[in-house]
Amino acid sequence: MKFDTLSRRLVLQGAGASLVLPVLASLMPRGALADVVANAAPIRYVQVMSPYGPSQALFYGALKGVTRVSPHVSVTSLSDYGANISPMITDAFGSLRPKFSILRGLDVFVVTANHQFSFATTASGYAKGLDNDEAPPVTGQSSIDTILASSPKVYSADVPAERRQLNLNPLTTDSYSSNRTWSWRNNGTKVQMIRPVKQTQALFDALSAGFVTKQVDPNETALLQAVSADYKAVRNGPRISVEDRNKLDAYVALVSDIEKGLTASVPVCTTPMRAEEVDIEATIDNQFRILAAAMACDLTRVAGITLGMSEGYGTRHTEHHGILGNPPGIVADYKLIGARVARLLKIFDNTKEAAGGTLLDNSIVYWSTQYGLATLGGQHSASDMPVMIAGGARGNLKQGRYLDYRHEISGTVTEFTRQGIALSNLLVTLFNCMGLSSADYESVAGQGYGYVDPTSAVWANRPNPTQWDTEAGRRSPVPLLYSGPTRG
Amino acid sequence: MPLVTKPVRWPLMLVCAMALGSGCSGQIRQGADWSPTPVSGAGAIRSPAFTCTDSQKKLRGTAFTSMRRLSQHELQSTLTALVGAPMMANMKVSAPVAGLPSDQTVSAGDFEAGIPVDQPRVLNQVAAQIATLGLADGAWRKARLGACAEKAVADDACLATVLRQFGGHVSRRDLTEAEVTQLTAWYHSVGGGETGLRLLIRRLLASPALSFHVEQGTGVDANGRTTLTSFEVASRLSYFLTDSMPDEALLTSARSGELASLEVVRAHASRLLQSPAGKAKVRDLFRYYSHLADVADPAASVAASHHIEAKGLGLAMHDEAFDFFEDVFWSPASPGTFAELLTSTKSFAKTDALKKVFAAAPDAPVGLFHRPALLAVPTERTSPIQRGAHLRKLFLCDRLGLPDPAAVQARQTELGDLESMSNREKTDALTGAAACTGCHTMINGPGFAFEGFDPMGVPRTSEQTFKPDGTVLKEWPLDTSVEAVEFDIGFPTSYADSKVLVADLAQGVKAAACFSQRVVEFYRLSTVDSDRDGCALAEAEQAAHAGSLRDVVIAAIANEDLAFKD
Repeated sequence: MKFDTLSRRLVLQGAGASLVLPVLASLMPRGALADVVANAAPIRYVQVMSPYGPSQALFYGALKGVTRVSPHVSVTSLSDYGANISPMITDAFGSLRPKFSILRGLDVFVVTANHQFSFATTASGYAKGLDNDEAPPVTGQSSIDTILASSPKVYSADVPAERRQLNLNPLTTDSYSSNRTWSWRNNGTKVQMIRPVKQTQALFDALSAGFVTKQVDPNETALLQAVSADYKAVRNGPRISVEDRNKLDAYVALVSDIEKGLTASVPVCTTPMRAEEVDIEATIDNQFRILAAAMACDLTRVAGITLGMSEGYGTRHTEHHGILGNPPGIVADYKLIGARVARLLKIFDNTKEAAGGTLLDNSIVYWSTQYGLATLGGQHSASDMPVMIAGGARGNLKQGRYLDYRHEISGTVTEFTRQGIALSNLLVTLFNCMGLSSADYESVAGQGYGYVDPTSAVWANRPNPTQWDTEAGRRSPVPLLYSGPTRG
Repeated sequence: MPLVTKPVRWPLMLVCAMALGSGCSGQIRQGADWSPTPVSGAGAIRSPAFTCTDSQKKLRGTAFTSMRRLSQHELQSTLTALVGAPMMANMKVSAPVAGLPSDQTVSAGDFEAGIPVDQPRVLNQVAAQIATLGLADGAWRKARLGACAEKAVADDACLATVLRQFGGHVSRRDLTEAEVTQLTAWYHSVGGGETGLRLLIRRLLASPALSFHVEQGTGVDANGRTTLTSFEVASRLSYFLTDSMPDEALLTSARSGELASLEVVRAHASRLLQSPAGKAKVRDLFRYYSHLADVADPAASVAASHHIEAKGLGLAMHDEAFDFFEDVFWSPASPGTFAELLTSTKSFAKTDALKKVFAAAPDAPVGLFHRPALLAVPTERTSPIQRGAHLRKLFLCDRLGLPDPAAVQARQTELGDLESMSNREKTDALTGAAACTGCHTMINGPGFAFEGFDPMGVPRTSEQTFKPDGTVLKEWPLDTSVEAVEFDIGFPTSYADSKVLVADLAQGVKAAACFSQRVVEFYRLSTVDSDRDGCALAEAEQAAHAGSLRDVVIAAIANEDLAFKD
């Protein structure tokens, strides 16, 4: 199906009207969860990531934790700040401010912090000596989105693999990140980066089965069964290894997904509007709208978005090393990324849900970057990861605040040496929001999610260490953000 | 020479180990199973030459442990070979394939093993389009399915022709009689006629051969390896060198059994390497080897100091470097050796701005490591650490550990602003702590040697920074000498500048061995395993020392490994 609908909806959306999509249980696609049947909207998870990392001034601006509510947490209401919180979080976020929080002091406690795409979504570095963007996380664990996408607590078994986890990466001008995501999958033998979908049409096609009415053609079923048989014949042939059999089985399962789609009583979801892709911003918006429409129609619940730079590695990487001097190119890109995230949140917030609230109210949008905040000599670090958590997660997140988890400044602790808590606990928070507990995300019982290198110098200096040294601490959500049930 | 029986003769490989006493390893023999942990311990430069022992010979081909899926580009090329370029020009056919995740690798091991979750749907969608469009076109039917099918498939004899011709091409082998019979029965079961033919074309185009490099083999040899069929050998060779299915000549050789001869395999390899697809892949090899995905424009002030416009210069440098590599690789007038790649004085500037860069110092060395594309940075000052690390990691295959970011930060804080210092002083100060010197002894030396080139890659006699109009802002004396740094086995440890250093690297073992490793990684789309791939690596390395770059590729690919899998 060609994604070329220039419908009335385009006019409506352009006028700022809501995109209302059916979430009635009777209209849900097969695979919708029990909570949908109970007329509660499902919780969706979206991670938005960008290469490199901003400076403190770019992301946090003048934000300051004013009220110390516990020994190691200070809080400020975002409503206390003017129109522009920072160069990246500007008035474009305007009315959304009660629907997001900005978090400070989240560290990935690794000694390996250089080129890598795993810090924000796996809370892990890579093995020593592997200075490589695609070196797998040392934990051997899949990233949070992949774990969610394969969890029976997020999807029922009959949801096709193609719709479980979307990976958008609409930019084509950044040779560094254009073929990359922050999504990692442990395929049983190794952990590898999942490649993104680049083109709007391809994204639409992945979901199109949910956007159209189908007429079942018995020949189509016969064809797909024959194709499956061809793969099974190879699978059952001589001298085929276990690894190859698994690959062929996985392929047959994907063909089976197509076959199921032929006969499933899938509802007609509202086809998202399309704008002429005259520039990259139009492409990004098209993909954001497809994602929102698909999530509103419960065609998918988990997605990752890579928002790259307008130039590639040669330019932006060098600029990142000098980011404290505010090189105009990378600064402009970060501002643009902020504006894009604001647009994504607005599209989600303009999407009303029949079960109540907006798509944003029922979602988690996790925004961070490849590296932590740049410091003098520490541009490629995994410390002090810039984080915005937007959306209400259906009432599981308390929003509208700036939360600073770093040491209090006192004695020998200066602004420069303030240490934070483990980013692992933020990801635990997000798992909890999605209904997952430690049994779902721990590869070793009691270790929590992600990785903490006990030899890391920064680990020794973390605030409130006793809280995080225990099993319960590793399984705890970050303070003051999560308001859902205790998951353990 | 038979492909699988006669052992290859090996040169005596230099084996040497030197204690380095640092946290960095100069070893080149790491592979997919390389353990990263020793980097933090005491490292040592091991022999950079690859070996092929008797036990390694028995492992030849066993690095191929599983059927790899077709990459996006391989799928695109295969479909083009099967249905023709005009068909692939149709957006309904090409766009869905182009929408699959790109598989371009940057580093060894990047290739994601798992099938993209959208591939079966895309293949199904594309097959439907091709069947509809193709069957509506008599010329396409005649060319692709056989003359008897130009208008309709009148009988089972014609259908068998279609299956043997089109189905054989899809499968990259001759179909068995049993397969033809089975597919004929299915054709009738779905209604036969044009409907049956359309569904049959779709079924074939969605078959395992379009998704995987299917290798079922013929049996197991005395060393426990699975021996591939000659058609499977043909496919491996063709996909390695052209990213596409075997052409008629190769299939004919496979059918006749000629591919049992290594000479015939090499002749085909040489022919495929020179095909348009083979040449395109050679160009991409250079992207992989050099990591030159893009080159940023230099800083405006630096460009202004040479009275050159910075805008567009990065792209011109990028293109020039690729043209240079291709000239060394292909020019019949050149020896085309690895040494030539490092020392050639040719340049291929196409823009006036880049011509000025080369004209600024006509006698300067311009081999690969001295090309503007590799030396240029978009900042106003060069970085000896960056240049040194790139040389070590990319071109000498050294493994470098990473500094503790907290230690780096503490060091920066301790030293304060260093911008008033020369690059050399600054680098020495930053990396002078005991914890840093192990690795930075390896990194800083080559970085200092290349300090004779400014941020645009233009030779210089002093280090300078510039005002926006290009006039000198600050100036420092230059010292490009290197003392007591191990670069290669048995070579000097002191150099006056990068020119003499590169001249030695061109004659040495390590850089050539590293290039050989990169070739194997790139063409096989894999990391290397120093045991299982040892013989192929050693053959490629031998070619890098004694033959041309083309010989390196042929040796890396057209060898005994082709005939086996684990």
